[in-house]
Amino acid sequence: MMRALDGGIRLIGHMVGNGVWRLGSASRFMTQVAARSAMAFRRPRLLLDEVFFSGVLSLIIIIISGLFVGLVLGLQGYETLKRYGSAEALGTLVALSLVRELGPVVSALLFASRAGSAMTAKLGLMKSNEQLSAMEMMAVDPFARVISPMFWGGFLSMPLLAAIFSAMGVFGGYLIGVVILGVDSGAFWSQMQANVDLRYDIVNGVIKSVVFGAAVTAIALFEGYDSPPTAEGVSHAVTRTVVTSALAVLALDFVLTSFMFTGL
Amino acid sequence: MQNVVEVDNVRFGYGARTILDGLLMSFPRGKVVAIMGGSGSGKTTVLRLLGGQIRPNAGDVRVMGQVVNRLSYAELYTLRRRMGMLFQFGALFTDLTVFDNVAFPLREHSGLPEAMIRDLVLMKLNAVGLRGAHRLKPSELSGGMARRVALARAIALDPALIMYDEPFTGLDPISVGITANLIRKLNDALGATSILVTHDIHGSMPILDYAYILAGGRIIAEGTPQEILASEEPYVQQFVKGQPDGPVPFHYPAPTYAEDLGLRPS
Repeated sequence: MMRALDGGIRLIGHMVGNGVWRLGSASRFMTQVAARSAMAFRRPRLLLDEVFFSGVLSLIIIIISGLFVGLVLGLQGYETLKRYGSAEALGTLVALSLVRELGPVVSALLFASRAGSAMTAKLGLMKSNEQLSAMEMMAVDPFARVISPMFWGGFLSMPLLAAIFSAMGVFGGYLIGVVILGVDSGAFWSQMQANVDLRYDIVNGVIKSVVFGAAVTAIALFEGYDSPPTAEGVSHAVTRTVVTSALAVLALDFVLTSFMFTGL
Repeated sequence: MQNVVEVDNVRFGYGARTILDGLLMSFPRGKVVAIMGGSGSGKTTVLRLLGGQIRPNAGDVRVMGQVVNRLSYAELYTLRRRMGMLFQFGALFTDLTVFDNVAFPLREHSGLPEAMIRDLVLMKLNAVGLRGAHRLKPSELSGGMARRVALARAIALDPALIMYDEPFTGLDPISVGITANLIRKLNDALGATSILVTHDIHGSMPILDYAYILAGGRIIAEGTPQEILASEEPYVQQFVKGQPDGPVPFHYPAPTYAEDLGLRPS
């Protein structure tokens, strides 16, 4: 009994100690990323390459997922609104659901799975193949040349991807509601225009996607940089990126929503 | 003769585990010097100390007159522009072509126009015999070719000091010969100093001016290739002749065989 208790306490101590250690390493890592960011903006080509890597290459999954989420929202929303005789409010329902919540959150989860995992794998493999060390020995700082542009590329891509996701979702809702189920087109768009507020709904949604983009990219890069230089190490780092990013996005969403939409 | 690199009574370790202890080495200008020893003897750690990737716990590492372990970030990066390093498996950038790999340090540091960089890259690739492969990706190269491309990249900025980490590992005998020959020729052509970390006696001895043998983090022998081969030090004998047992035991420390098998002494 005492032995099991002792083991449990040790395990908790180890986990807390390890967590604090990693938090310290991550803070130091992000400080270096911030301090070496100038090159990313002095050489726009580096930044554009990373926007392509994390943003453009994620477009297909974002567009298709956004469309399907919009189609489902259209179907579910129509069924529910019809019960109360307000099927014309479908445009408002679809748009608010997407720009406030589903657009930033689902696109961030997809971004973590597609681009975040790719960033972790790329950085982890560059480390295990000594490419980062080679860069250092060529007097090229890997933080300035590789890691900071990757961070800013992800940071810039995420809000754009969320916007595209929401736009595709609205299009999907329109296809189901107006084209298939016969909701009036004018009512669909005019209700949406009247009830979606630029600052309250859209800007808050953009702020969410910026925060999620920063969190997911930072987690992905830190996990890649911190991964043990082995096949298992990189594989575990990719898994941790997806799991930690998903939990971070959901937790941050709760906190941000609390402040933005409930007046806490 | 002026020393390009001096290792002055260096001690290095991780926590209580000592890797290098009381190391004294010097590397004169224009020479090809090897640091040899078995796996885990601390050879690569010496290279990392010279490149400023790690700092010693005690003692100083001087490269081209500067104490590496006391340099600031900016000073260290300035010094590294005068160094070239060949990593064990080349460490080529896998998303770039052979040409772009060799052009990388030139584009980052030289500020030269692209046309001139092109000529320089082709010259460096020609020196290692791979001008014709400049459009290939690293994944299309054999191990020996990748090592030669990495060598072309290491000498792209005409460094005064070139460091090689296990340059012969995993190469066939022909590639070992080619690489060894290139190391000597490039060193002499550039008037540089080369430091080879290796355990390949046969590949490296013909091109060496001097060698240090490390064991347990200490220098146990040093001298010209002839002096090393003639050494009567038991470890050097075992190392040079590739004997399976000797001062470096065949078995990792363990309880007795009988104990592990659960046998009781009669």
